[in-house]
This record gives sequence, C-alpha cells and structure tokens, in this order.
Amino acid sequence: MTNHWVDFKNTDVALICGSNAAENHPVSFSWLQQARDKRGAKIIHVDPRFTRTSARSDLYCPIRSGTNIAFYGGMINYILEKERYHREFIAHYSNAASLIKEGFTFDPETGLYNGFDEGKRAYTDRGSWQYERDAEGNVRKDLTLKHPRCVLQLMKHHYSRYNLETVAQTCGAPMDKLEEVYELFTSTGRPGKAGSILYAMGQTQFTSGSQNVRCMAIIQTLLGNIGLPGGGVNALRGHSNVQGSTDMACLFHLLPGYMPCPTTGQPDLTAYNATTPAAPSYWSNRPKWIASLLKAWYGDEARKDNDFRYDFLPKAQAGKNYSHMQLFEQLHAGQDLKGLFVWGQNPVVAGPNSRLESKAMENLEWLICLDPFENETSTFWKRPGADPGKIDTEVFLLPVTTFLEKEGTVTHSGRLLQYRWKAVDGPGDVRQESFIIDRLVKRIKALYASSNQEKDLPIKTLTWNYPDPAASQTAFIDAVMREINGRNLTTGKLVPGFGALQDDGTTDCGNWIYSGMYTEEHGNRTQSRVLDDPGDWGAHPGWGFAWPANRRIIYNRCSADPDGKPWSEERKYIWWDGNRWAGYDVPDFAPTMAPDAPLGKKPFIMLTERESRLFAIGGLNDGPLPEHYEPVESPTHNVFNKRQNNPAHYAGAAGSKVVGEVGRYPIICSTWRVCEHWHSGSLSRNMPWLAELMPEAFVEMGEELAKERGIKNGEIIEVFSARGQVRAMAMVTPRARLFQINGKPVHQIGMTWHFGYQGLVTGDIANNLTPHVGDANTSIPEYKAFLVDVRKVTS
Amino acid sequence: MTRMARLIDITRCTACRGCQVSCKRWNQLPGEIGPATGSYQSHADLSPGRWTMIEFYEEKKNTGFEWHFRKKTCMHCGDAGCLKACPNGALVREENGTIRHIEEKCIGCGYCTVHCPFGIPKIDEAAKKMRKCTFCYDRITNGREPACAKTCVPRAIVYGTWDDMASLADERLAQAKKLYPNARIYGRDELGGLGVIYVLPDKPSNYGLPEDPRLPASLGIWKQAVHPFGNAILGASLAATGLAFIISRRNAMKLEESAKLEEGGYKDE
Amino acid sequence: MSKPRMVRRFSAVVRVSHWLYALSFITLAVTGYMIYGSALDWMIPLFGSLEGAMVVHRVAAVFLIMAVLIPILMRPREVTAWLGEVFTFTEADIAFLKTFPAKFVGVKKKIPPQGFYNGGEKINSLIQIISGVVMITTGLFMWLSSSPPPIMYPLHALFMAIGSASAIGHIYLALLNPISNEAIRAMINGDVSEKYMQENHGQWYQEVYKAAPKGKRSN
Repeated sequence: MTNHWVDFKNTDVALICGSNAAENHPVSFSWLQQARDKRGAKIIHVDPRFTRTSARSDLYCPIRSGTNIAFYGGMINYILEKERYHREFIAHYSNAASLIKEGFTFDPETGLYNGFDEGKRAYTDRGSWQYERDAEGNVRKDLTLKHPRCVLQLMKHHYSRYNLETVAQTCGAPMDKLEEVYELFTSTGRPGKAGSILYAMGQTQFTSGSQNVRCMAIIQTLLGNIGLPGGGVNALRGHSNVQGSTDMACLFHLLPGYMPCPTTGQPDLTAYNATTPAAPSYWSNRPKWIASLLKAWYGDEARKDNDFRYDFLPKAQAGKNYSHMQLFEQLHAGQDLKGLFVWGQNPVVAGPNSRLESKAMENLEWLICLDPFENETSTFWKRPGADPGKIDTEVFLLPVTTFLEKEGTVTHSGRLLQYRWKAVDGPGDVRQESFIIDRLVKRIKALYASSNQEKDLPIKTLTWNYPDPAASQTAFIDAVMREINGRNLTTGKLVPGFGALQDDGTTDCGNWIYSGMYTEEHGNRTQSRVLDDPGDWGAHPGWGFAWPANRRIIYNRCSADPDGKPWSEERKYIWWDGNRWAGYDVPDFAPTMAPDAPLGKKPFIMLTERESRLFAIGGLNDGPLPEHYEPVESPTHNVFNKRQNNPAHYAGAAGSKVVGEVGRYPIICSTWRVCEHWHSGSLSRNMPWLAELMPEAFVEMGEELAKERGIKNGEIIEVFSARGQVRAMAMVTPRARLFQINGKPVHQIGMTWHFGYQGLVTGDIANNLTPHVGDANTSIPEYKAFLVDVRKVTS
Repeated sequence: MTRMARLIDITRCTACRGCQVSCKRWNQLPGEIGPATGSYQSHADLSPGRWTMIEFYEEKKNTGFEWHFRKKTCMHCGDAGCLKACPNGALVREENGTIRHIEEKCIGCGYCTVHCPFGIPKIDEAAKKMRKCTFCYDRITNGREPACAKTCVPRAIVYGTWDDMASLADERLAQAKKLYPNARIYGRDELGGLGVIYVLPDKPSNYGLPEDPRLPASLGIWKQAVHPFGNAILGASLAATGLAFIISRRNAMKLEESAKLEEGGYKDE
Repeated sequence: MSKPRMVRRFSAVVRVSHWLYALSFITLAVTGYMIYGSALDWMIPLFGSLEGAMVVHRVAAVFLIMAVLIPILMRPREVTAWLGEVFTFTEADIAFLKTFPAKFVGVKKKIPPQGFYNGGEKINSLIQIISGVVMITTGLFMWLSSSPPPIMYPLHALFMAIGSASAIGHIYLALLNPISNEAIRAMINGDVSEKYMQENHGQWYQEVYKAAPKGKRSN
C-alpha cells in the first residue's frame, strides 16, 4: 500500500476493484465506514460477482473476469477526454509532459508495441521506449502537454480506443453503471478531494496482472491521488504477513529490501552494482545496502577487498524463472529437484492446476512440511486417486505453532511492523519456525564444519551468533531484529536508519527498508503502542514502525503543491514551513530540501527522474502502457486490438499449459475466497467454529445458467475444465450473473479454493481447474479467469 | 442500574460473522458442522449451542439487487413472552434489562420457545435446559461489552444504555436512508422496547422479523385469567371437600350417638 | 346377619383402567402442578428434580392414555353404555343434584331412584371426559409438536384445574364421605350390595330385577 489501513477513513471515494474487501479484509470496512460517517464518502465496488462488499457499497458495477484493463482504460480515457486530471499535479509530479523518443509505436492491428520478437515472445528492443533528451541529457518536456509525443498525448491517443461503449461491450458492464463509476471516482481529481483504490488478487492473478496494477497507478497519478491522506494505490495483501514475507525476500528474484537477486550475469559485486539505478534515484544508494547485507550475513569475513564475499551468494541463472509454476514444472519433468521444504504453504490446494502439481511431487525424494495441521500437501501421497505404494517420497511433517503461539513481528499491507507476543503455548511438541530454522542451520553448519572445500565456505562462514531460542525465543528474535535493523560496526551501536548505512564495511544491515525499526534512541519500535495522532489523519506515528523510516504515507511530498504548500487546507499533511518539511508524517524527502532546490519539486524519490511514470520507460515486459488482452482462456475475442492474449505472458513449460476452447468450455470461472476460510483451509477447516460457517465447497452460479442446465440450488454438480474436474454444491443465486459480452450472453461462475481432502470439512480442490499460465512480469498464475463447463451429477 | 441494549445496524453488517464466532468462543459453545444450507447462511436456525447467527436475505428490488444480513439473537424484550410463559421462574429480568436464564430452575419445558415471537429460545433436549443468548451477562456486569459487539468490525453492533442506543438509532437511520429510502428502526417501540434495536433497510418481514410482534393473546388469558381462576377453583374444591368432610364427620358422629342412645346409652369399656 | 347379596357393577377391565386412570391422573396432577405452580415444590425431592417430575409427567401421560384406550378396545359396549348414560340427563338426575349438597356434607336425604350412574357421577364423568380429551389433545401437542399453538397452554392449565377440582370432590365422596363411600367397593371388587343398589340406584335396581330374578347379575 502507498497508504495504510487506518487511512481509508480519510477517503472521499473508495474504489474497490478486484477485491472482496468486506469479506477478506473485514477490518478495511471499519475505516471505510468511518469515512462514510464522517465525510459522506462513497464506496464503489467493481467485481464480476455481487459479494458482501457489493452489498455494503454505494455503487456496484459488474465486470467480467479478466477485463480490468478495459475497465481502467475506459477510466483513463474518461479522465483525459473530460480533463478530469489534476493538471498541475501531473505536469510537475509525473512524466506527463516528457517527450518519448520517436520510434515508439503501438499498432492495434497487431496488438504489439514496437520491438517485439515473436520467436522469443518478448520485447527485445525497447530502445525507443525512452525519454527524448536534449544535448545535455535532460529529458525534453512540453509543460503545455500539447506535444504529440508527450506522454499525455500518447496516452490520449492510446486510450481513445477505450470509449464507454467498447469497454461496456468487453466488460459486460451496464453502460450507465460504468459511467456512474467513472464520474464518481474521477470527481476526486480536484484538490481537497481524495480517492483511494483498494485491490487484491482480482487485479493481480491474471496474465496481465502487473499492467492492471500499473493502471491504478496511472489513474491515481492523473487524479492527483498519490501521497495524500485518503488516496493511494492500496494492495490488500492476502494475509497478515505477506508484506513481511516479500519485504524479507521470500521470492526467487529478490534479496531482502527488494534488491534484485544476483544472477550469473553478475559474477562480482562491481557487475551487480553496475545495475544500480542512477542518481538521483534513492536506489542509487544500493551499494551501501548490499554491502551492509553481506556484512550481516558473513561478518568479519566480508570485507571491501573481497567484495564482501558477494561470491558466496547463490546466483540465479540469468533470465531463468524460478517462480512457483516453474518450480513445479521442473519437478514434473523430473529435473534437478530432489527435495522440497514447504513452510506454512499448501500447494496441493493452493497451486494452479493442482493435479499436475501433486503429480509432480511424486518425483521428490523427500518432502518436509511445516504446518500446524496435516494438510493436503503433507498427505499428497494418499490423495484421492493416488497409489501410495508407488510413491517413494519420504515425507516429514514438523508441527509448528499457530500465530497465537509464537512471537515476532508481522508486517501488514500498510508496511507497518507490529510485534506480536505469544498468547498461549502450543500443544505438545510444536515449535516456532524460527526455532526450527535455528536448529536446521546449526545442524547444517555442524555437518560442514570439518570440510575444507571452497564450495562449503558460504555455509561455514555464515554468521549465526544468536542466543539459543530454546532458552529464550524473545532473546533470539531480539538479536535477529537488531541485525535486520543494522549496526555501526565501529561503535557497536544500532544505526538510526538506512541513511546511516555505508558501502565500506563499517555497517551491517539485514534489510535496509526495515532499518530504523530498532534504534538506540527508540528501542524496538515494532513494540511501541503510542496512540497519539497529530493531525487526526490516523497516522499514529508512535504505533509500531512503518517502513521506510516510519513513513505512513509514501510519496507524501505530493500532498503539497510544487511550492510546498498543501494543495488544500482540508488535506494538509506535509508542507514546507520555510525552513524544513513539517507535518503529520515523516516526509519522504530530505527534511531541509527546499521546494526551489533542483530536486525540491520531485516527490518520487525512488525513480531516477523522480516523477511518477504514466509511461513506464523501458517498459514492463509487456509494454510501457497497459493494453487490454483477453485472458488465456476467454469466451470472446479482443476488440481493442488484434492480439488475443498478452504477447509476453508466462505460458508454462510444454505439457503444463493445457488450454480449453470456448466451444467445449463456454463458461467463465473464477476462484475466490470467503471471509470464513483461510487460504487453503488448513487452519480454518480444522477449526470447528469456522468450519461450521462454510461447511461445504460450493459453486456460485446464476439463475439463468441453473435453469438452462436444470440444476437446483443445493445439488451436487460437476465443474470441469481442460485440466480437470471437481464436484461441489451448486449455490444458485442472482449474485452470479449472465454477462452480455460483445453481443453474446456468457455465464460467469466461481468457486472458493479453500477446500481439500483433509480436515473437519472437506471438498474437491478447485485448483484442479485452474491453468498453468501466468503474468508476463511476475508469473503469478491466472487463477481468476478460465473456462469451464458444468453438468448435473446424475449418479 | 440502567437498562442496556444493543443497536444492530444491518445496513452496515458485512456478514463477516465474527459475532457468531466470538459468541461461541466466549460461551465455549461447540462447532456444529453442516448440513450446508445452499446459501452462505451457516445453519437453518439457532440451536441450543448457537445463540446468535447471521441470516442472509437476497432481495430483488426495482432499484436493484440487495443482499442483507441480519444478526439473529435474543432481543431481551421489554415485554418478554418467555419470561411470562416460564412456569418456574427460570427466567428473570435483571435491572440492566437482561432476560436472564437461571439454569437450575429450568426444566426445559419449552413454554418459552412457544411464546417467544422471535423464535429465539431453544431446548437442549439432552440436558433438558433452555439455551439462548445471555446478553453476555457475565461480561456486561463486569464492565465489558457483549462479545458480539466487541468483535464487530464495521460497528454494526453497538452496546450501550438503552436510551443511548435508541437515539443512536436515529443517527444511524438518517445515514441508512441515503442508501435505503425505506430504512426504519425496529425494536424501539415494539414489545415495551426490545433490548436489541435494529436499523433495517426495509420492512421487518423482509428479514424474518414479525411486522408487529405481539405476545400470543393466549399468554395473557393464561397468565391473567386461567392461572388465578385455576388456582381459585382448585383451592375452592379443596376447601369445600375439607369443610364437607368435617361436617359429615360431625353428622356421622351425631347419628352414631343417637343410634347409641337408642340402644341404651354409652357403655364404658 | 347374613352376608348381603352382591351385584356386579364394574367389570375387571373397567376397574383396572379406572385405577390406572386415577393413579396416572393424580401423578399428572401433582407433577403438572409442580411445573405449573409452586405450591407443590416441596414434593420435588420425591422425583429427584423438577426435570424428573417432568419425565414422570410424560410417563404418567402414557399410562393415562392407555387407561382410556384399554376399555375402548376391550369393553367397547360397556364404554358406549357409559357414554350413553352420562350424556343422558334425566329428571331423576336433576332431583339427585338437588339433594347433593346435603349428601356432600354427610346428611342422608331421600333421593329419587337413580340409574346405573347417579346425577353426581354423571357430572363428574362429563367433566372428566371433556377435560380428559382436552388435556390429552393439548398435552400431546405440547409434547410432540415443534411449535404448538400457544392456546394449548392455557387450555391445558384450565382443564387441569377444572378436572382436578372435580376429581377432588370425586375422591372425597368415594373415600371419605360416609354416605357414598360404599361406592368405592364397586370400583375395588366390582360388586355392590343389593341394599346399596336399591337405596342409591333404584332405577337400575328396577331394570335389573324386572328382567331377571333376584340374584347375582353377571355382566
């Protein structure tokens, strides 16, 4: 999130799109309701089905699964045509005025930007997706926003195809509703008004997921809704610590703090640092952060003269994808992977095309699962249809504590780190994961202690000087947190923040963005519980610690105009008081950098040009501007351009991508969650009070479809896709609907993916249906739009 | 102590059902799994082990589709049918307005279930005890709010004095009317004021509530006429026979005496 | 004095069912009153608990219903005869009722000859039949229906009171009233003396002896 949960109370219009906030993030509605009570805020819900969120919204607009870019493109077009954008904001704070090089094109006839290599399915030449620069290297701009190659005009041209009628046809949305949504949300483009976009997996789990998110950033920039209370692009993360897990790089392509993972193309630190974004991007400090990270990991052995033992870091094969789907495809092909650690995950239920993924696991020599319950993954060898006698995988289940039985921090969507203390001891011999990691590392180090081989040095060198968690979990975590925060190795003191980190080996830091959470001055700030709220914006700076630098709203320089005055008195948040930046939050700006300094009007400090990129220079893998493509499985053709699917989407390994045709599978299906169950259900389906609330897997389907197929509410039906079939109870309801798509009626149904064969309540695994295809940039699977058919179960 | 109440504003309820879970958690009630109802609703009705639940109502209106969620729970009525019907004094009204159930006095006769206009009390047939929402009597008498109100994220359930809730209802109604022109307050005037005051989006019967809840007329006849009359005739018949017995004994003795006199007077034995 | 000549009044089946009815009635009345009021709560320990009393109430109800069904099934003619009698009120019955208050307090009054049942017995029978039917019906509703109409409760209570009041009088007359308590013998061993028959049920006496010579009449 650019903003945070409490900040929802400050919004004038909340657009919830691709999220079922009321069900899956109930707390959001506490604050949204306050916004309604105190500011008369309006809540808009845009979603394929009518959910509990729709029920509590002021305005609901249905759109077909997989048409977010069409919907947002329509809004961008609406903003540009009706000039709803915040002119001064985009002129100064975005690249709207910047000129793009000649040669950049998009051709609706091919659906491609220039530079695409059809053989590699990639944009290999992105040279023209850059700013035009003058002789001194400065970006050429047209502050009148009239130049045909300025970003705003390029966008105007690009999105002119996204007129109301075409969007309504593609999305299957009623035109009047669509217009109502556009009108209401773009009303926040005025100073003094703020609109917030809340989104979740209904934006990201598509082959164009990243571009969906780009759309939101573009719209919020155009409307001037970034950096001020009640605005922002706000990802409602799927569980309490997803943010923390990505921050700490539980992802294949990252090191902690969103530094890229070294690849084989970067054999030494110099090569790695060569990829550092140029100044004045704040990222230009990256060499300090990687040096401090290596110091934290390899201690005294990491020195400037030996590249801080950068050579110890494992290198990803350049260009290779190690994401979830790739991993299982590799496993399925019987390559390389011998064993698998599964920590608090349940891929047999949660993974796409889960039949394929379960089958792939049979190739494992060993599997270690850490979970409070025996879930479907640790019992994959006895799943329905499997022959345990033929599976040689040795499976270990290490029982671990639930969140109430352990301590440590969690980082929620608002980037807020909060320490949680243990409420109760876990039953029996369950352990906290950090204890297991500690023992595992110690055991591995002991095994390698006597090795003299060069290749074992990283293991031998890895610092692990923490108190024994068996003696005190608290002391163990305290030591780890100090290391993550970073220390001045000369004085031995904790650093006050990432600004103090150095690239000469005098500091260490386990994660630069978390630096400042544990300081000499404030102690462990994640444990702080001060409720004071200066300005009454809900920033509560004394409650926990929000990265970066305890900043509650990022890009908050945007809340003031270029001269440093608040855009409006009503939304006064950060301002220049003549000597320094003052306000109710930590300014994301050098505190004394005056508005008239060279960079004093440039809030987007992480980017080299320090401007919000309406046009993504260099592009994402699938282009610099979001463009609508149909999901891989779609019931209709793409009317915006002649390319049916995202040209660069992750198509999966041969054999894993099985695509169903609309003739055979005419119904759109989506998977989703409900309030009562938790992800793969391994916790909630074992919890009687939750299990009773949703005791059976179900398929939500519209009354028209039920009538067509002679299906009655409560009957067991079969849903089948090109990948597999599942049985579940039919829930016939007007909440699921019949869409009119490009003139043809198309049914959309959906099911929760919470069920599996273990636990108090069981049901078929919905992910047997989902395809092994993913986003062009992140490879997140396209769980949210695929084709199926349904039939009555007669036997 | 003043009368307490809960305001349940169903125009804000998101049906997260946190109240349903927190009620079970605080009162340590068992999970009751299945059968599925064919909708999001967890069960068809309350049970001895389920004192509150959310009912789901889909409404197709001219103005569009609406989906509403009503928390069903004991209303702790001002004029409580259960309390009047209970033959054993197992239900009492506390000063704070709670219709409290005294477990030891309850025999599970079920009279309360018949006379509740809202179908709230349920009989645990195994234990022969009635069970219903206690208004978290143990919590509210110790300065805490009921578990359901405590957990309610969108503050659809608010706990406070009856008077405060009655006036808060007006505030909430004004808010609700913006989205639901037919919105109304329910429970403020019904049955002597209910301990649960609802803000409803539309008429009560749309959400399984009686439009005009009344106690059955027979309850009044029973308690005000039959009960005293029955006691009276039972008493009268006992008194009459007792009196008759005494008189008849005396008459009989007189007869015996006269008979003895006829035979020649008393004889000492 | 020679042994009085006896006349059979009630068959064994009827007697058994009467006593079964009587016992269940008393049990129902007592346990019912414990549930309904509080005057008999001192008897709760007798049943272990009020819940126990409720179980006994239901068991007794089963016996009571059996007591009704047994004669209907086994002695239908006797039952129809009884019903026929109690639903026919004669002048003699009215005349009996006029003397009843005196009889109630043990004063012998000349009464007109009565039939098989006297006016008082008829009244009690009527009350018991009506309240029995109401009680069984409402009771079954209350017991078995998941949502009995609320009117069942006051009806049950009302007829409990009426039936019980009448029963109290009946019991008194049968057990304690010096004049009529011979009648109880008829209910114990089935017979009454010819003398009692002649004095208390003159019409019946006439009917019997017109048709047959003096002696034991068998049913």
